[in-house]
Amino acid sequence: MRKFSSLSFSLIFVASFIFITSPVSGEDAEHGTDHSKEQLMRGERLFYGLIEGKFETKACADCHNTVEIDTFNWNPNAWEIASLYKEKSLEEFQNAVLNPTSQTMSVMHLTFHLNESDVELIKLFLDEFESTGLTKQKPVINKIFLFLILGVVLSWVILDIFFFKKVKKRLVLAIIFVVAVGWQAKLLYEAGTSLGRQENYEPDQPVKFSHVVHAADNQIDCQYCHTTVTHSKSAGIPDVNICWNCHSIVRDGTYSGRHQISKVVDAYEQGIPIEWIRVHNLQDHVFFSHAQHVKVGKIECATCHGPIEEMHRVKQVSDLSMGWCINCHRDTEIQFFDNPFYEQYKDLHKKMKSGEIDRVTAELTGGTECSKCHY
Amino acid sequence: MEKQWRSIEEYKYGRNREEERGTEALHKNALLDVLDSKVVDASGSRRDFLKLFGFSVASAAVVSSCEKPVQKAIPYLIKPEEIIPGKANYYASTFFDGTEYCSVLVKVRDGRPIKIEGNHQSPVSRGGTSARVQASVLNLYDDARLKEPVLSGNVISWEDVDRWVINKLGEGGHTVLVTPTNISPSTSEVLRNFIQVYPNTQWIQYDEVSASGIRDAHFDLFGAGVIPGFHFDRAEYILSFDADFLGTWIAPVEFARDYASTREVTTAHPHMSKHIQVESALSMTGSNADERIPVTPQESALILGYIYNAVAAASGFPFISVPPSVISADRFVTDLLENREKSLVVSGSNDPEIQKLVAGINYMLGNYNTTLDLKKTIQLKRGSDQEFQEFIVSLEQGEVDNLILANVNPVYSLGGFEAMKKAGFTAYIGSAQNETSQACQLICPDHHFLEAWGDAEPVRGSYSLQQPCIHPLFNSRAFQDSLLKGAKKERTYDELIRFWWENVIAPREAESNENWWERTLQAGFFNSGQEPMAASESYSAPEVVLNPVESDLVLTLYTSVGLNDGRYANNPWLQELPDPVSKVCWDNYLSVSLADADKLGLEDEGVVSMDGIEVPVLIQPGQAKGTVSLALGYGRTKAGKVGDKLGVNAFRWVIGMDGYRAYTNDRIKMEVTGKTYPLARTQTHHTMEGRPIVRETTLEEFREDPSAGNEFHLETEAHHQTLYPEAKFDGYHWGMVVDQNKCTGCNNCVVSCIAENNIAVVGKEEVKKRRIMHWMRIDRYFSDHPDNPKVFHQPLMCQHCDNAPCENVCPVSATMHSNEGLNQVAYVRCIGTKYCINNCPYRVRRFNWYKYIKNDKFDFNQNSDLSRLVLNPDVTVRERGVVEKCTLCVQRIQEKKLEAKLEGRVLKDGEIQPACVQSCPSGALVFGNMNDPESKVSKLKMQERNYYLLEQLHTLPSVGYLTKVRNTEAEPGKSPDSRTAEPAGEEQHG
Repeated sequence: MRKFSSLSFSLIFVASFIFITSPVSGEDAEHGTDHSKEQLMRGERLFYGLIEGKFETKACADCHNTVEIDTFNWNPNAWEIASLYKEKSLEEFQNAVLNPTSQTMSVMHLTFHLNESDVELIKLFLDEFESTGLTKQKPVINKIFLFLILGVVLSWVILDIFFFKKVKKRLVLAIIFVVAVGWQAKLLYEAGTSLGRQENYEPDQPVKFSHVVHAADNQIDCQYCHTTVTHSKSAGIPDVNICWNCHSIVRDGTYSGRHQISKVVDAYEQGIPIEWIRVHNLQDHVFFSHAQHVKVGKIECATCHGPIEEMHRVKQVSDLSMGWCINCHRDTEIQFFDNPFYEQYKDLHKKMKSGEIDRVTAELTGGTECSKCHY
Repeated sequence: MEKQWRSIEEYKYGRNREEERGTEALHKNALLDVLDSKVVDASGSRRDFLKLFGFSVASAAVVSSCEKPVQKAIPYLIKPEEIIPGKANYYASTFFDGTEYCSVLVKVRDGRPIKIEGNHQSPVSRGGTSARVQASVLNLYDDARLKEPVLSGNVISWEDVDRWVINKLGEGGHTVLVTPTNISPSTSEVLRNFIQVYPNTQWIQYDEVSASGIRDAHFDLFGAGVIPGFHFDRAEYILSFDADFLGTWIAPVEFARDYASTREVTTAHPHMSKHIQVESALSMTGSNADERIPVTPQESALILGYIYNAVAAASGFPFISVPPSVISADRFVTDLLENREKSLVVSGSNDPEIQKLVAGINYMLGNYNTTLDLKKTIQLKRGSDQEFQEFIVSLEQGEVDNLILANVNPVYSLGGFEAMKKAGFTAYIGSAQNETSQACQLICPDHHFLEAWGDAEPVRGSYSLQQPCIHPLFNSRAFQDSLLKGAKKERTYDELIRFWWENVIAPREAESNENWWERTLQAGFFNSGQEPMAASESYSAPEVVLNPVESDLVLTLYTSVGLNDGRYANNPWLQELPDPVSKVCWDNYLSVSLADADKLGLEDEGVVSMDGIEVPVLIQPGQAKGTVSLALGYGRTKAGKVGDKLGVNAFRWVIGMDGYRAYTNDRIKMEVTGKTYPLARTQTHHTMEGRPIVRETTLEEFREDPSAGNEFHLETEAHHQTLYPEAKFDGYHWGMVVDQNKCTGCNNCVVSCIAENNIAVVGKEEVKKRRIMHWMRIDRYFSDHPDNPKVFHQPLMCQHCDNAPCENVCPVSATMHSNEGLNQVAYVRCIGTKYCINNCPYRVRRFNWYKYIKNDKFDFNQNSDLSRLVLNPDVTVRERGVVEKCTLCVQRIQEKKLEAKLEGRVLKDGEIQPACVQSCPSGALVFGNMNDPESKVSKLKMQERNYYLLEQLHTLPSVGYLTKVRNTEAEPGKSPDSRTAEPAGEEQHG
């Protein structure tokens, strides 16, 4: 009996864990009635590459994802294509698929063995797909369940200690108790400290702008685009006319082909600014100035933003927590002798002369005080 | 020093009534209502909050596994060249609201004007602003603004408006256009264009509060109907009769700076002007006078008459006949005759007979061309009462077909305007709704001054430009454009103004014309450099008939420093601004003298019925016996959600006297009702327990001993001993000095602080509970007998003590000292124990009892998306349950430090100006680095007049105060020793 209870417990535990952590797949899209079901079905099968002999290596869906994905994909997803060609004619679509203009696209599309009627079927499917949109992955919510299960375990242990008394080895119970409580505390602590923080945040942007292509491959200086970094608190998300400096000519992307750059062209021509997703979200009650750090402090961009030039999609590498700020302010030496502003700090100059201190950090001039950032 | 007191109760009983009632009970009530779920915002009461607290810790962790909301960053498509995101731009512009002129700099952040600053280069306003100017930026984001053109209740397009108006005016009927005083040369040109097209048009300028008497008196005496330029800076002897020239009279900002420049007393220059104020109500100006004579308006006319005859006798001019005056004015005559050519007599009366006397006295004393100026005359207040009176008569007789009212509110300020219905067609042009706009058939929204082009000539020969700082928020159109369209002109007003400036105002010399427009626009003003011709050279002695009526009780009406004539009634910043003298906000009240109150059996905060209208009573020390006073500007009915139904409309008591609007009324009937009406008054809050707060001396004593009145400072300095290590500040140690001799109590700094620091408006009920949030207040103390007390104004903000009592009681270290001597508060760390509030001897800390933003219970400026646009993005909006206080505008300190660092240079003295300092019209506040012995603030602190508030507590404040010096004879028997009278009573803090 005793054996059974502990065994059943562990089975339940493991099973539920597996169940909770596995992602739940989405339902299939419903089909419309305008066209015959078979046509749509065939279009869908074509798009997913399920029809023999049409694709050599990759099918449409292999590059143009139909499901929301976490990973970075250079190619436009299925919905983007669908919505782009929804209002356009079949001829345009056929032309785009079969006679690709951009280099990246032609490499892949030339391996297709599609005829015009195949493409028509694919468009049928895409027009249908436009209304359903990308299949969403349901969020994985294992942490909450883990927390609740630990709670169940804890209550079971407590009940067993006081009422059931089924487990004779009290030490086992004690260990389970301590581990469960500890684990819960750890979860709470982690969740609590990460409240409002988003380290490793890496959202998809409306335009797949790559810092690798711009900053590394083409060696464009950060300040060419982020123009206000040396004189304002904000570094400046470049406005479209800065993009236009080059992209009035450059229309074919190294990795992305024409589709991404065409968004910039559209924005400029139609006069609609691009709505970027903010990656680094500092809380509103914190004052931060890029100019202070970049021009006065001569801090490299990478110190906070990491190896941006290696990122196709920008990711937040620092947690932007107060501890992280303070630590840097404690350790970082300021430009004390180069800037006449600091002449007023007579005591610090004296201390440097006498050798009492060997360097002046931001902290020594008050860089760790509340009102330097919070007001 | 004499005992200072703050209210009548304190004078009589030593304590305030509120305190008598028991502070404890008050606090209990105050605490209980925080639990009242009716008042608390939607998120539930504090008790609910505590119940939920336990759950929230766990749920916070659970919730945290959700993503943060996605934030977008949308850059400009094509960024305008001068805009740098995150940095403010300043544009020079002009403030003129029909009554008051100011050259201003508008701080525009990310496309939104958020703050008005004074333009220090302007030769007219010289960097000063008034409370009204500071608050005007909020009117831009007022919900009560007119948003669309409306015809008989239907929204129509501007094309339809024009078609309709041209049709109507084309019929050729008699058109009358009523505007406030117009000082814009280009607008005059627009009006000329309009009248050319419609010759049957009459243009009338109408001032709610008129100065027609001065103009007409000057016409009689000099043959030119002008208001002369006043040079208070050149006057050594100022004799003012009921003129609140520092508060609201004609050009208070300009006058305050001039006046304050004569009140600067140093050991090197131990001189100051002498200012005598003869008045019935205790005005802000009267509270600053060296000597104040409270008399009835009739009596002050008689005094003037007496002085006139005495001066005429001494100067060989003909006499006039006046009844004898009760009060002897001989010493004023002696002083005036001694100060020929450097004295100044002014009167706030609108009676041309009195103004003739004033002008005559000034002329006989030779003051014209010295303290008075007939060349650089003041162009404000151009309305003629006579002309307006004739217009009303013709309107009543049905002779007016079309009536266009632009930015005037006669329906309110005439106490009803039934005659308006006689006009066939009525149109209103203005930026915000009011009683008049509601009564008109056609409503044409005008721009706010921050959205519009414009210009001004406030003083003859001094021009000023106004430029738009934001794209119009609503479907409004400039008043001038409406007229130009109505006159079927192709040219728009912005084209016209530039043409007018470049061709008419611009200097003739060819070389200085290059980029002249751009340069002038950048500076905001232009001085022609040519001395204008004197308006008149001739003088003819006046014939004055003084017939003062005998009356037991006279009502005098005045404009309040906050609301002016009521045009700012919907501005919550100004409604919550305590009156400089009575410290009452959100209401007007009948000021009654102590003697009259005893005689009539009136209680403080009782209610009387005056001609059938119920008015609350305030017993006002210094009110002349036989007079009662009431502020204009209240009792609006169509001002908007904030301004409606507050106080009573006092314009109903404004009467016509021989065609002039008289602001005194001796025909009132008053009855005691027995009701009471509690007023929201702030001076009795935040008591400092009767310690020697304001130190004063007389000029004579000061000349003998510069530290006169300030002996206690030396004494405490000598006894300073401490166990704590001495606070040392490397680099910067910020400090401030307040010159109590220069401060006039005008409240400009208070509103400036509100605008800069996103300070919440809490409303009348909360003010009554002592929960006003102002970081900066101006304390007003009285001393002497309440019949004619001495008044003191003391600006008070956080003292930034180096040995701060608030810091060491905070259990979570949310408040602490910075290495630059600032006492800082980290709002996010504060848990709201309020220990710091209780331990602050200066009562400068404020607690957020509620969430004041996005809360329908506090339906003021922070409860609408539109008016939240005024918030300063550099200052956190505080949450419920945290303590806040003055930071000495740390955001400005940091900004200027960074600017210096970026440019790699030393920070200059005077470069950092906290909001209160920046626009102080009298220059009473000085901020700077106390570590630099050469800084202005260090030098002022070296003066013998400098002391610190409650310095005996060894709090080591960073804010110094300079003793108040009065230019009076030292009064024997009043030794400066009463400071020892520190109350021994128990200290209960408010």
